[in-house]
Amino acid sequence: MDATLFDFAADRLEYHTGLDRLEARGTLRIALKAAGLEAKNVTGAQMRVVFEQVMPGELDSRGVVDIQVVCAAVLADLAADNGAAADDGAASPDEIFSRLARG
Amino acid sequence: MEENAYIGELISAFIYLYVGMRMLRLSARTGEVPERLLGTMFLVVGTSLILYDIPVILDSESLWAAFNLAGRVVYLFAQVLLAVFTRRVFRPEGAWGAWMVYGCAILMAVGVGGSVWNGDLEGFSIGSPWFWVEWIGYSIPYAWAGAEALAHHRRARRRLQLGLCDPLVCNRYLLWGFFGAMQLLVNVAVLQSYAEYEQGGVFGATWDAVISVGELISLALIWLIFFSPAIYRRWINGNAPVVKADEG
Repeated sequence: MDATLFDFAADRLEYHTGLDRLEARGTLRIALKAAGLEAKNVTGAQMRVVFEQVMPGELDSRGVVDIQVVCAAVLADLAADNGAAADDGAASPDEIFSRLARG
Repeated sequence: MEENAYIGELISAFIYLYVGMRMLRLSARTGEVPERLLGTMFLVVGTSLILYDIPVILDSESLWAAFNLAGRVVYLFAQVLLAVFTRRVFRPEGAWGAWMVYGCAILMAVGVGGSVWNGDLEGFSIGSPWFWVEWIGYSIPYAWAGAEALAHHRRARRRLQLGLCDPLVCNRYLLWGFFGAMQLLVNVAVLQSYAEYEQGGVFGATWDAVISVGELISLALIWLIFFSPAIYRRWINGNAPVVKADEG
């Protein structure tokens, strides 16, 4: 099952664009993959970077207009919804491999 | 083992023991499981190598089979710990990671059990099917660890471009992937070494040297992953891409 944050962001993307549900979720998945992230464990901070740096290009390639406005609106929704944007508490491989060098 | 080749193996053993103790000390500080798994694994690998070396050091032919069996059995636990580590870090969800761990453990137990049952305590009989069951069982954890780390390195490089991954962490995935691959290559070289032993009753110097070089490279990789010097860290950080400023 996907993380709440992914569901929330995909829902907001669908709302602010003319994309249908499948297109919105697929576009977000592709953007996350391009950023080296996975839907199931993406954090709020990572999602923000995706919408700032990756999503504009993905939306442009799908003919979405007012890309900057759309991304800003989704980012505002993410910031407003603190619950959905909460970071996953589980240790990621990045955290583990960062910690292992402190021995 | 040819002439003084055991000295290199013994040095490797003590380095593994040292790394294991450092990892366990880290685990005591953090209370986290991954470093405990890795620390225990390195301790077990070191212990296994020492067990293999004891009959050589004592120059005792009579101890050969018993200590080789002990080293062999101990080594299996190290590989199970490595598989558990890989599952815990890279595949914490889903059943297939667990099945990989169980599968490796079963293969190794069956391989060792079968060869011992057939009178091969040392486990050098490359012509025996039990040998191959065991070999596959203890090689898969290295292949799995290497493949997962290299796949994560690929994704980490994309995150690095966006400023979402520490350059050192990204590099550690690559090094851990190389470590898995190098240990796998050592296991392949071991096959040739065992084939020579089965034919002539002695381990050839050439393959001993190849295995030693593989071990040395593995130890260097461990050093760079867990105890990287400042100059190396500066080099990695200095070569990291500069993240674009937010234009929005």
